[in-house]
Amino acid sequence: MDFDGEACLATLEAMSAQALDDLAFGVVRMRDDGEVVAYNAWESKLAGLSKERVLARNFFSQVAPCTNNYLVAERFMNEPELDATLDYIFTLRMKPTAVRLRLLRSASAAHIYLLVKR
Amino acid sequence: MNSESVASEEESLLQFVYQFPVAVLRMSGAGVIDLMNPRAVGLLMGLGLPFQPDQGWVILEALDPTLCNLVRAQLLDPGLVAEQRPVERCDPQGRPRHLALTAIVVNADSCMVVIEDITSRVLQERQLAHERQSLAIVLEALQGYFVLMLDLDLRITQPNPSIERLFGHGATIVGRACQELLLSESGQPADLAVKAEQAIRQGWASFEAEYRCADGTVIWGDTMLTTIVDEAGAPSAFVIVARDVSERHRREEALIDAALTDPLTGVLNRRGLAARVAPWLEEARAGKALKISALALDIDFFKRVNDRHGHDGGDAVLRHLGQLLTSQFRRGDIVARLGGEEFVVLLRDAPEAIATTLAERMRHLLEHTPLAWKDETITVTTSIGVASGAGLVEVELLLHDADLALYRAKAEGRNRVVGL
Repeated sequence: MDFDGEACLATLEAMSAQALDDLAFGVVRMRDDGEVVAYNAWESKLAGLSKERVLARNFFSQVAPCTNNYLVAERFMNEPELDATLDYIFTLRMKPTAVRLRLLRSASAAHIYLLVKR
Repeated sequence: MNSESVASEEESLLQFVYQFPVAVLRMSGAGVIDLMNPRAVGLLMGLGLPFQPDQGWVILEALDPTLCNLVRAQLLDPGLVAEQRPVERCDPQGRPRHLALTAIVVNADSCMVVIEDITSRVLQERQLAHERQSLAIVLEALQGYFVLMLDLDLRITQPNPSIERLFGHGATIVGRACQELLLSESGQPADLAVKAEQAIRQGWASFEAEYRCADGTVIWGDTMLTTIVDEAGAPSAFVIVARDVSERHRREEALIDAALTDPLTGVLNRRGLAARVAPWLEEARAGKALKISALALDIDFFKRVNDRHGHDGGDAVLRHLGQLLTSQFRRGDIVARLGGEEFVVLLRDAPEAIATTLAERMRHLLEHTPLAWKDETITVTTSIGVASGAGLVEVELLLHDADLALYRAKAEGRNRVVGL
């Protein structure tokens, strides 16, 4: 699967954590309150944070506070059906890095997803 | 240290920096941001400002044009450019955000900018200032009331218009013990600490007390002392709200005075004497060693004055003696007219020798202070009997002894002082 693919959410939901690690872009799988359920290898490497430090924490407030605003976190909270792509800056290892984000949420899926691509 | 633990430490440091609650960024002299924390991105994006890494100067210009110029001007002169500069910006939703900006030039090719979002603090401070202002207006408008803010040690913490207006105390009152302002009904300081304990127990305590003004006058306050508690419910301060009831007290005192005073001479009447001497006897009963001396005075040949000058003349003589007595004895002494031309003076803690000296001085004064009345001059004398008693619990015996001495003074030829 790829970053821009159709029916992405259903595909991601079906994938195991190991399968997510094989993807060539970052994937953060969360409960709808932002608690991290899966954090794939690509994202872990880019951010410089091991999975153990991230899993079970709140992504927006404790892991990546740069997303805790109306552009990312508030959209997840406010839009039950969400599939949006936007240009963003991540400060990976404090270096400002242009990234592309995809925000995914649906009533039909148990998790919400943040996809990150350089 | 092996590479694994270095990596772990680096990761820990990264996580710490990621969670830093203040926005920090570093940029080169050319305006390229090489380091910034997540909070910086979140804050700039949240404000709808540019945040591209090569746009350092554009970002700074958009945040605060003045600071941007200051930093540019100081690039060759490393150091602190500005600390916590307040800036107000609206976010894309039109909500005002308050920021505090700090900028440091490290060297010509590196400067650091720290951005704090102090919106909630500023709004809180505004709310507080608003409440303070409202309170000040209320205090200004509350005629006849005054408010004292106290800390737990019962010291006054803030000046306010009501204190200034009623007491004439300005800001110098701050830090003084409230106790210093207070007198109780008996003239002894009211024990504010006891009231405070009561206020802590039940939330409030009410009492009447006299408050001293800057000019020495006194205000009667119908007082409510209330405890202020902190978030945990523990007492943190007190507030006194008091109604100025001085006018009512003056009226009551005037009524009491009227009942206890002889209207002709202005000295106490028989009831007044009993009321004033009661606390002395109370102390004596409580075991305090107390010596009271009594002077019984009777104007010599008063009937002749009445016969010659009429009752008006007699009254003028009585007033004359009343005034002389009032001027000669201390406030703490008791001067009373018992009826007719009979007066009594009670002295506290005065041995008989001193009482006799005072009596003699009084006798001499009356004899040598003639009264100018109408076109005439009236000169009268008085006989005085002196008696003293220690450990008295009743005043009647003492008055009786003084009367006996007075009787002797009359018998021995009048215009003289005789001790028992």
